[in-house]
Amino acid sequence: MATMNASIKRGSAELAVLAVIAQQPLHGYEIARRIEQESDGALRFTLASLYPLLYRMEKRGWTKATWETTPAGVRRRCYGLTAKGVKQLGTTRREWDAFFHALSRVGGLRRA
Amino acid sequence: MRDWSALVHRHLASLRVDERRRADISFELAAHLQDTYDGAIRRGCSEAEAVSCAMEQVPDWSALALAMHRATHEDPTMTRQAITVLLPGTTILLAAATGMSLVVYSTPAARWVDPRWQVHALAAGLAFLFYLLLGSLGAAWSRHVGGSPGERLAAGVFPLVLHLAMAGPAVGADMLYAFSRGGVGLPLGINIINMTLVMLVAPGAALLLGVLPFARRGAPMNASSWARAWRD
Repeated sequence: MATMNASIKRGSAELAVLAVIAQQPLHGYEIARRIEQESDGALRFTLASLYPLLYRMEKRGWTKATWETTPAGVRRRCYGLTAKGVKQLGTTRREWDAFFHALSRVGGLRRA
Repeated sequence: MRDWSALVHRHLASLRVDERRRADISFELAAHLQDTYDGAIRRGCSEAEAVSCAMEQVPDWSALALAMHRATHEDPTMTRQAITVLLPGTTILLAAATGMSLVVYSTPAARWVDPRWQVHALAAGLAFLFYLLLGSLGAAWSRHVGGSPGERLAAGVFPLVLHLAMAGPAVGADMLYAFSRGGVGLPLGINIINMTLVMLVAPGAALLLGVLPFARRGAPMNASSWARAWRD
């Protein structure tokens, strides 16, 4: 289960980040804030858990980061999806959908 | 305003990236800490509470430095098993081969046929300890790079491949010879058993014992611990 736990944790975190930045390019703090907000506080990223993931995804070519200046005049590194990232998001969504579908059947869960 | 950038720069000094990338990373992480601090102040926290809130973003700076190093140096050409099994496993296999070669070449011929059992017991004990250490090293390395218990086990007992390669053909040849003669005679039977015990069972047991302390599973994860784990 240790591998399963690690891969579930990483896979679910990747899905959350990819899904949030698919809507619009965002900087790290905003990505964490959106995920917390959209999951009603159930899922939270800290700096320590978010940035290694963001850099890994950038290195894999799923995201592209650019420096942008906010309306308040502050420079922020914003992450957006690349074509490879869009494809990866589709794959990850299908995998998680199949996983939850199977789990809901086995575990008698109600799906939203 | 707090100098978050200096704080990040100091804690990530060990991160091996070029200076420009380091500056970018420091700036980005410092901005995140500043945003967290500002958010806490906006929610009505005191200065001390806001600082504490920002600092809670990184419970362990050395763990973050390690995670950042892995993220920025991830090699997409290496599979997970290559990192968690083959790399540690091959390294300890090479160490085992080197150790055995050194023993073979540095031991005087007379020592191999020394009539005193104590000499052989001492040699066997040292070899056992050496393999115990190798098993531990392989499993610990695999665990360090995120190997599952199965992968740690595979990495730790990897030198058995070398033993199989050496003893396998010899035992196979002995058995073929025995079958061609219509049965295993006593001397040949003893030879096969000796070879199996010395070349496979004893080193395998030593490696396995070395692996055991590092093969423990993590605690099972439930829904709430999963959500909590995201923050770690």
